[in-house]
Amino acid sequence: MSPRAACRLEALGFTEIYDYVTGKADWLARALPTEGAEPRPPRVADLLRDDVATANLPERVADVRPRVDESPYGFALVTGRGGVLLGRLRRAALEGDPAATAEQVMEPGPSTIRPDTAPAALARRLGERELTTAVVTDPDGILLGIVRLVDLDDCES
Amino acid sequence: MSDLRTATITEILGDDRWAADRVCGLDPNARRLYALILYRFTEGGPPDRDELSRLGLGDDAISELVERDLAQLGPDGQVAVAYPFSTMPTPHQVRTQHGQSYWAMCAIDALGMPYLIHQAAEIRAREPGSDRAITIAIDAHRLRELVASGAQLVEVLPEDEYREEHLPGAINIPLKELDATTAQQLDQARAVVVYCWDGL
Repeated sequence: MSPRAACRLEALGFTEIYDYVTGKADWLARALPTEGAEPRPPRVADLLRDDVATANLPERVADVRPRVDESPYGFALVTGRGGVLLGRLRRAALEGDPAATAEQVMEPGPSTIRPDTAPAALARRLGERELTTAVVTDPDGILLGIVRLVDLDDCES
Repeated sequence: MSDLRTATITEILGDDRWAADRVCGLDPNARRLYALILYRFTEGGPPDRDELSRLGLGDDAISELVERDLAQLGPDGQVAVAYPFSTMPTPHQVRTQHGQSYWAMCAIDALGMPYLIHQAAEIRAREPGSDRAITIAIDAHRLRELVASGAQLVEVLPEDEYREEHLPGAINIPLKELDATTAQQLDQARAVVVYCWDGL
């Protein structure tokens, strides 16, 4: 639709036209602010938590583990340049060789969701897979946070 | 049936224009000169001939670049072009994420320039035959920069979808209502960014 609008504007004499091709879907998937009718439908973005432990690729397991122990979750997320999510350090890896680096023992490419996901749909998916948390990233893979099943359930009720 | 097919770069440009061959056989001095000129272009403009002479990169090296069509001199004898850069305005402008602006010699040069300078960039071009503007696709980061610098943001989805939720500051002109009359609410002298749900 927007490419046709851009073409129409060009025919009407506009000379500097840009097309935000990925559009509103991309904007919402980045949890960026919007305007409009209130209340808008609930989204996972409303339930994001930033209390998950994170680690860099070269960090040693021994240095990451205390942060995980202090967090409410039994794992850490490994991020690279610009906060892009690269992997997950599960408890078993954290209890292994303390000299190993996050890069060596992480589970690469964990599953993620976008922040504009509907809480009810996500609660169903997590329930079916017997999971209690989901990792949230934007379309560029940048880690935004964690959402918990318990919060999704509260939101539903 | 269309007879369109994929062509190689060499087929498009011709053997004599293939930069790899043109650069590989360069004399070391000419190669050094070419690298210096390109580097200086990224900083704003080519070095002048006096500076090149002081660096020991004089007439022979420049002549070789000109002979191989890697550079062109202006009427004043100074470097005016070193592919992909031009000192003179062309229909192909490349603007980097950090606000620098370069003129590219052709559309292919413009496309390669972001890789050469290791920066994300936006290309503004005009169609050679008609001189018509070419619409450029942008991402969310560039969108915010454009809006901050005064661009007009237009959601072209139906009114009910706009009313429910839209990007901050956007106005609504549904595609089905976009004509000369409704477009009058936009300023032709300013940039316009259009968007829908996902471009389809």
